[in-house]
Parts: sequence; C-alpha cells; structure tokens
Amino acid sequence: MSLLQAVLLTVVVLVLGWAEMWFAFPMICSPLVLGPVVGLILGDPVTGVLCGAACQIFFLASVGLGGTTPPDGNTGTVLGTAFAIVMGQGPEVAVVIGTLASYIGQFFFYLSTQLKSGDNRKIERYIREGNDKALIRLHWRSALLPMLPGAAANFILFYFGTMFIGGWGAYIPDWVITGIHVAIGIVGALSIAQFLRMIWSKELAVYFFLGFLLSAFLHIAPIGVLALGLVLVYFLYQREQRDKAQAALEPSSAAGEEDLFND
Amino acid sequence: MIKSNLNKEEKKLVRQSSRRTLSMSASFNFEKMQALGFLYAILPYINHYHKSKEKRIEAYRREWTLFNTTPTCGPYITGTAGSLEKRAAEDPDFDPSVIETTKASLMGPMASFGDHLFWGTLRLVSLTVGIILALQGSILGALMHILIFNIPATLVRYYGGIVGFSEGTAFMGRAAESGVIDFVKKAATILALLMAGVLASRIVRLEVPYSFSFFGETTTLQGLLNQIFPGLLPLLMVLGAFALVKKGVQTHWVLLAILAVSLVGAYFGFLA
Repeated sequence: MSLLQAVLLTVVVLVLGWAEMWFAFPMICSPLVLGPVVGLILGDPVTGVLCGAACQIFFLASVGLGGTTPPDGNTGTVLGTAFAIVMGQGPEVAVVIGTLASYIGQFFFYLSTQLKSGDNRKIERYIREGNDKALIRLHWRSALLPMLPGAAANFILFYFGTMFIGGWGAYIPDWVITGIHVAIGIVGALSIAQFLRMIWSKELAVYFFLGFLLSAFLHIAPIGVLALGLVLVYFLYQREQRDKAQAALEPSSAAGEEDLFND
Repeated sequence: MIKSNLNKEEKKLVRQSSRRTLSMSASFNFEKMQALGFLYAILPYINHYHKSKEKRIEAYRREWTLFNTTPTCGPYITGTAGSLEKRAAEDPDFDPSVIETTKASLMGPMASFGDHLFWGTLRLVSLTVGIILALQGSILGALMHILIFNIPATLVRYYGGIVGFSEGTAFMGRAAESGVIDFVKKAATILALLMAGVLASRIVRLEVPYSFSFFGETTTLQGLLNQIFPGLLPLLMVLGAFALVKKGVQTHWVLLAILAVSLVGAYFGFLA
C-alpha cells in the first residue's frame, strides 16, 4: 500500500466514523459500507464489496454481549478488508484479520470514552459562567479529538502492517481458506439468531417462516418480500381499524343477542 | 395524526434544535451519557426564550442532567422540553422542576421504542436487502442499506420535533390511547421477521459433499435434501442457533467452535 493510499484510507475512515456519531448513526460506518470504501481506495471495489458483506455477517454474530462494549466490527472490517486486498486474498482472510483487529478497535473505543470523562468538570464551569459558546466548542471537540489515537493506530497498521505481512498471502494453504469459507456460511445462522433474539415474539413467529418460504420456494427477491410485507401490514392496519369500529358498536348488539336467547 | 400550529419563528427553532439532536451521542461519556449532547440540542430554545443571563444559566443547569435515548427519537424530547422552557420563561408560576421530570420520564420509553424500531427492526430490514445485493458483488447493497434505514429515521426525526413542541407529552397519551404505538411496533416486528426469514434462506449455507447411490443413481446428501425441502438445513441451523442464543450461551465460544469444526472439516474434505 502506498503512503498516499494509507493516508487517504486513514482520513476517510476517520471522517466516516466521526460522521456516524455526529449524524445519529446513519449506517455509513457499517461493514457493508466500509468494505466497498476500502476497496475503492485500494483499487479493487468488487473484493471490497464481498469482504464487507462477509464481515457484516460475521460481526452481526458477535455483537450484543450484555453490558460490555462489543468488539469493534467496523475497525475490524476496515483493517480486514485492507489486508485481504493487499495480500491478494478475499473475504475469508478479511474475516479472520478483521476479528483480531476488532479487539484493537474495542480498546480504542474504550479509550475514547475514557478521554471524554474529564469533560464534566469543564462543562460545570462553563455552565456556571453561562458560557454557551464554550459548551458548543466542547461538544464539537469531544466528538472528534478522542478518535485521533485510534486513527493513528489505523495508519500505522495500514502502512507498516501491510508492508510487513503483505506477501504472506501466498503461504496460506487452500484448506484454511475453504474452512473459513464454510465457517462464514455457518456463522450466518448465528447472526440471524442474534437478531431474532431482539425481535422474536411467539405471536408473530409465523412471519419468520413466511419470509423463509417466500424466499426459498418462490424465490422472491428481498425487496419484493419487503414490498409484500408493507402491503400485509397495511391490510392488518385496516382490519384493526374495522375491529375497533365494531367494538365501539358491540354493547348494543350484545344486548340484542341476549334478548334473542331469553325468548 | 400530526397537528402543527407553529408560527414561522417556532418552526425555525424546532428545525434548528432537531438538527442538533443528530449529534446527541457524539460527546457521550459514561458518567452523564448524552447530557452535553442534549444541552447542545436544546440551546437554541433556551437562548431564544430566556433573555437574562441568570435565567439562561439556571436553564443550562437543569438541562444538563444524565440523559440517554435513541438519538432518532431525540427531537421529540427536545421539542417537549423546549416548549416547557418557553412556558418557564413566560409564566412566573410555572415550576421548572417539571422539565427535569418530564425529560426523565420520556427518555426511557423513547429509548426502548427507538432501539426496537431502529436498532432491532429497521436495521435488520435494511441489512437484509443490503447483504444479499452485496454478496453478488454489487455496490447497490451499501446504498440500499443506507437509504432504507435513513428515510424512515429522517421522517421520525422531522415530525418528532414538531409534535414534541406543539403537543408535548399529550401526544404520547393520544398515541397510546389510539393504539398507534403498539401497531407500529407490531408492524415493524412483522417486517423484520419476514426479512430474517429471507436472510435465513440466503446467507446460511452448509454443504456436505457426501455422495452415495440412491435407487441406482449417484446422488449427494445435499442434492437429496434440496429436492425434498430446499433450505431445510439452513432453517434448522438458524433455529438451533436461536435456541443456543436464547439460553445465554456466550457467542464468541460458539464462533470459535464453528471455526474449529469448519477448519477440521475442510482439512479432511467432508465439508466444502
């Protein structure tokens, strides 16, 4: 990787990471997006897209361990994809290097939140002084500065790291790549399970199977299933409104029925 | 559902504050969480309605309290708190401690509603479409992921601010009574479950290249399974993984186990 590429990669990743926080998590820093971005900078966008997809699946599986900061899959994706492309490899290598790198990212995320803890005393003072300009400056500064150590580490890994192990790609045996490829396919099940845990409800579980059948048997594209889902939701909404209107009339009709049976 | 009787000046204030809620989490720290982000977002209201420096300092102090919610739902809360700041400035009998309790009572429900809606369901829907396109090598995957997530989020942010400022907590009461909140939750869950099903049929794969003779024809176990019920194996794997996750098994151990089994399987050639 050239120095220019390493600098560009560091800056773009820093800006995306900042923007993700600053614009209320608009999903511009998920593996699915970072993969192609790295790929474009390193001149191999298609491998970038594929690495991004594999990392997205892989890191979905490892998030959400209650209470602790999860390994940082975004940093993992960036480093994993960059190394995979430099080594002339694909998603399999990206996922493995990405997993290791996600722990580096986790450390720097922890560090950045620690760096912000010192702010509270300053905020108290600015409030006492009624200095709103200083409060605004602090908010801006606090959003960007703590990210710089992580960016510096990224740069070192991009530039010197790839220089060091860039040539190792040729030594990876085929069965290792096949094995990781198989693992990505299995891990998908775990990723979906993590999501199901968040949204599962016994009453609605049938829709999970409906989605599966529409896709596996009728081969409807995801966006088609989504459109069908929206139609279905609208239908349910209408039915609910109708039931409610009927419920409002209920007391009188119930009384009528009683009269009928009393005869 | 949305009534707005704001004048031009108020609309401008609401827009300004709602835009500022975007960065609510950017200065997050573990002691006060989004307190500074909230203060940053509500500053336009405070500085507009409170003219004297003492009043402003009082307002800064009461707005800088522990706060944490889904940023996308932030505008509704800053809008509500902003309209209360307006009352505090105009009505000398108004007890400003109401602002603090209102904020505290809104952030929890909004966080659970917002996390479910945006982190749970909308993210899954956008990711499903995105991942499947990206697996084919298309850059559209990333774009669809961003678009599907942000269009609803932007609408909620925009109208949240307006509704918060013009109706405040009355809106929540009205919405709860009409059942809209429950319905939105249910609708989002239905869409997300549908997409989880799609994902299960598309991204999970396990190929067992074991072949044998079946009524004189050489066939693979995989081929036979696919003839009976396409995708049965992936479906069972997802349900099995879900059972594990629900039991509270640590996922990184499961991940390591999967990796180990896959590598051994690939080395000896019974997995491909």
